[in-house]
Amino acid sequence: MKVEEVPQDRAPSYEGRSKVCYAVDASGKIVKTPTSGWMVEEWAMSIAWETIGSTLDRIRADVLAGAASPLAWFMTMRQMDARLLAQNLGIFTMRVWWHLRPGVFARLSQAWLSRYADCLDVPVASLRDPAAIPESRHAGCG
Amino acid sequence: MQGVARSFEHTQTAHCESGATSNLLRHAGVSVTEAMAFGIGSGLFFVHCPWVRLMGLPLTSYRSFPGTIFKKTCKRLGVSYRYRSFRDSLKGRRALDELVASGRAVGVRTNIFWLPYIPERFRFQFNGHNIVVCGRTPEDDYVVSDPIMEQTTTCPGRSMNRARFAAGTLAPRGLIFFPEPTAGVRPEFEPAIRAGIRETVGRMLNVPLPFFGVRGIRYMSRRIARWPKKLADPSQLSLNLANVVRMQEEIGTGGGGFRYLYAAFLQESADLTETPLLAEAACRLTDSGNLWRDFATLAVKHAKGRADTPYGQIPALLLDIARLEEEIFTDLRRRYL
Repeated sequence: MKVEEVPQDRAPSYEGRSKVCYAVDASGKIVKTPTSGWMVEEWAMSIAWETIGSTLDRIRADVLAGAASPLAWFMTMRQMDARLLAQNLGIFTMRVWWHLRPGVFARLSQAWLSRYADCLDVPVASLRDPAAIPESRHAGCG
Repeated sequence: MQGVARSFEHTQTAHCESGATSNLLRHAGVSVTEAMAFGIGSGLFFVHCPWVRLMGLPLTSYRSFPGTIFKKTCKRLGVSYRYRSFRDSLKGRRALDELVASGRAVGVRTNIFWLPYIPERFRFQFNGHNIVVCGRTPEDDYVVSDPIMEQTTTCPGRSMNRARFAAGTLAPRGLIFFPEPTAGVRPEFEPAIRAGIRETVGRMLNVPLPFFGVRGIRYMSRRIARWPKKLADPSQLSLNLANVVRMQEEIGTGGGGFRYLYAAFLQESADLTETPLLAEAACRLTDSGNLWRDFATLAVKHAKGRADTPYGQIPALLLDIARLEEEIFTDLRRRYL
């Protein structure tokens, strides 16, 4: 890749910043060159975010229908599954699975709610409240 | 402001571990570019293993195991280092704070998801991001030299603790690393370069398992060829293809799955050791980087449903890349090692 071929696609995900890549200059030397983004990379990333977005929307619908607990949404929003959430809390995965059940979650103690809220870095009040769950911002990006 | 933030020279680099290694060593008195750190540390590799899953997708990596670039670069240049993880997060926090207060610049392994200064779309649950902490602000935030960022930035203590002690695959466990003072160290670059290249050539050509090195590229070609049939759901095919491209470009590789970065190392080594054949290898590896970029373009076009070429071109291109890299590394073995 020559320096003049380094993509400068001003990728939205870069938020106006640039990364460094390596390219060949006019004298044949491989040098560090800034790039404001490459649409190929941007599209690949957007596929990942679209998937997360549509999963979150599906869970949101389940929560609003009472088929899933808000914990399921917030856990997925933090890109965790039950196993990773359990590992972060230092508890058995089975316990998280149990707490994910809507009926169980609705009766969860304040102490447990606080633990989950702290681990997921969300306010306790949001964890309780299905109406606090927004629609996905990332659906349909790219 | 506490610490060495004022005297620490932040340089933006392509890749976090080689960048942190280069910045830390330079601060300690040994001048090593990112490319040189990447090469001496044997950073170049290839793995595709469907039976190891990262974020639910087959493991694909274009570099060596995390942590090895720093350790090998230090060892091969004769620089002592500390490399320590913690079971107790409180002890880990205190250790970092004491080191920073004592004037050290400290390498830190983090989960990039929890770093607030990273652009939002790059924040995935990924435990392998290396940064350098070089000070504290009067408000008690950490001053961070993140190699992939343009300038130093700050990070609140709470976020830093989450990032350092996140669970999951390759959990950082509060890992800190830094070179010891290098007064009196006389690094010998030629043997370090040779050792780095020897290991990379061996790993690209000789690992007797199908998932690694040049064999791994061919293996991934065969797997990708079967994905349209094997993965009934087209969105899963898109995800799989996108993930390979993300590992090649998004995570900070300098382009072409680290091939351009390694070519820069070979070129710099050619000048340093007056070995023209290393410069030839650099040229050819740049060609390989270009092919990887072409592969990424084809793969993403198919993943987005915007392809104007047959799917079969994707695995075919990987076989071309495998053949080229096999020639490059075999040639290096024959004529240099």
